[in-house]
Amino acid sequence: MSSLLGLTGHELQALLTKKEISSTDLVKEYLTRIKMVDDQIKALVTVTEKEALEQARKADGLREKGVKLSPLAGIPLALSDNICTAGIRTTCSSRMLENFVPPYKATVVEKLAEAKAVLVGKCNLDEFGLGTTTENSAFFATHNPHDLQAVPGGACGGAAAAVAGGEAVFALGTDTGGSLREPASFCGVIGFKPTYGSVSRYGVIPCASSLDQVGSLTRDMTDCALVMNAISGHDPQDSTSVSGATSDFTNFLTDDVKGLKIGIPQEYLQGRVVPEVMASFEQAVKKLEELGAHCAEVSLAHQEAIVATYQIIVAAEASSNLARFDGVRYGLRIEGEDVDSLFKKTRSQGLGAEAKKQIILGTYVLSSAQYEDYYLKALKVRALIKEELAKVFQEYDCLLTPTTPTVAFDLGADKEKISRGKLDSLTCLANLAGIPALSLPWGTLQGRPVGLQLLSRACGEETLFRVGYTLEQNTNQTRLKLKGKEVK
Amino acid sequence: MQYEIKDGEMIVKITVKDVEKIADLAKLELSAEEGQGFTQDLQIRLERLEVLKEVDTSGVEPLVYVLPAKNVLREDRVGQCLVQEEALANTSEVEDGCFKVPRIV
Repeated sequence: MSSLLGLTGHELQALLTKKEISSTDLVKEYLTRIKMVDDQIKALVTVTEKEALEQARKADGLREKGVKLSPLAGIPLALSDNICTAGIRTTCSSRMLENFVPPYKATVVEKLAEAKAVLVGKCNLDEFGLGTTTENSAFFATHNPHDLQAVPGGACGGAAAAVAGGEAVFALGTDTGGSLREPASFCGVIGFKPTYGSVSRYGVIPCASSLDQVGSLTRDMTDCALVMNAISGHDPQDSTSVSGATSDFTNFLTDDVKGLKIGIPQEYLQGRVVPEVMASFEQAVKKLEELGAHCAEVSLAHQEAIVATYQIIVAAEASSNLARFDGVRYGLRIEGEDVDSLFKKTRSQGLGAEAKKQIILGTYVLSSAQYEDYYLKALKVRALIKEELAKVFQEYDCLLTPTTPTVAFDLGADKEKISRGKLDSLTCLANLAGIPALSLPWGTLQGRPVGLQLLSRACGEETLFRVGYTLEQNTNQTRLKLKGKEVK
Repeated sequence: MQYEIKDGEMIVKITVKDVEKIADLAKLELSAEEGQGFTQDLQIRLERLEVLKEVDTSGVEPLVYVLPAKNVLREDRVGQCLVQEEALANTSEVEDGCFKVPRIV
């Protein structure tokens, strides 16, 4: 039975359809696996054992009756713990929401419930999505299943570690500047951030609203397409949700990159990406050329300003979003003699250091004296970055970069020294421009996974799936073995 | 706000007092240690933002949302919403079906 653990969702669905296994068996297998490995990986904040077994039984019941089920029916999944689940606590890995039980569910959770997918747990993250290693969780740090000494990346490190460690077949998380793609890269799974607005954010606790997008973590491109089919689409509850018909993502799984024009921002990568990662990356470029794609160097305008623009917008929006946590309506409440001291005591004890630092920076850049120099300036540079990128995509079908400047580093390492505060320098561009981005595993360096990143124009998902699927079908670099305690 | 010259450029010099004032606006109480640490942190973060000044943005309209923003309206019809009990379920202080806070006036 344990051989089930390394399989993808669609491989498992084939077994479920043939009735070789039941969803109950499958979910039990996963719950056993969680008990075996999660004391080391620490991917999960909450395990939803009782609910999972009940949902699995229901999926099995429907299958017995011959009801036509979705490709995700009966498949175990995990959710980053900033996505609201009705009746199941949703913490954002913060003391502030340690005991928060949402009275409603996110639209994506509703959609997955309609698909009869089975939630096995809620995953650890950097508090409120602020961080790149999951060490900013108020509860505990998550470990990378490929190497327990290493960080899993962040903010959604728990969700990526859960998929890489065999604790869930797939997971959903959020991506603000790379929060899905960076942990996907560090943990050797596929991370996909769709075009801004294509997946509802209703019921997702925001980090930076103009950048946040819900996306998926999966073991292969077919699962990525199936999950996107399940969660995409217009939602009247989210005013930033894009209306119009949604595509069938499985139609994009084409094994052919002939004639595709792929841009490589060589100058931007130099000095940012370490040589070993660059060497792996160049192998991928070579492979794509062998497969018939045309790769050429492109230059990015305003490249020195990308990270700074992102940092200002994140801090400004996060500080505004975190203002709602005041102890009155939900979350932690520390009593004070007056309203002001209730607010201050609650926020000072409920929020962690990184959240406070972002609030300080955000409040500063939004203050009337600084607004024009920082926040307004960042919004203008954002306009320029988006415009210049649109020009690049008139000539190229997609851009290719490594996902991260380095592979995963050790827990507790000084990440400032490693990346000079630029760990998200390759990923945040997609969020600033609202475009789709895919992180695909590309082998390992001394046991730690390398990630490739593809970016395309807004609503250009098709190209990303085409390149991802072609690399998956023609190399053995994209599907890494399940990690954690010995898989039998 | 104080300024200092670094590498021939005039940059903002953040003091503990500045950070305390910002924290007060953001309803945060900082310990003495946090005050010191966050001051250094803000200084470093602001210095990294200096590169923005080099980008010419004259005549550029700020981009707030990446999608063309339009007003979204719906029919004014009663839909499903939380009942009072659900809305109040996550607070410890309730009185007469209302959220309760310390006396304001």
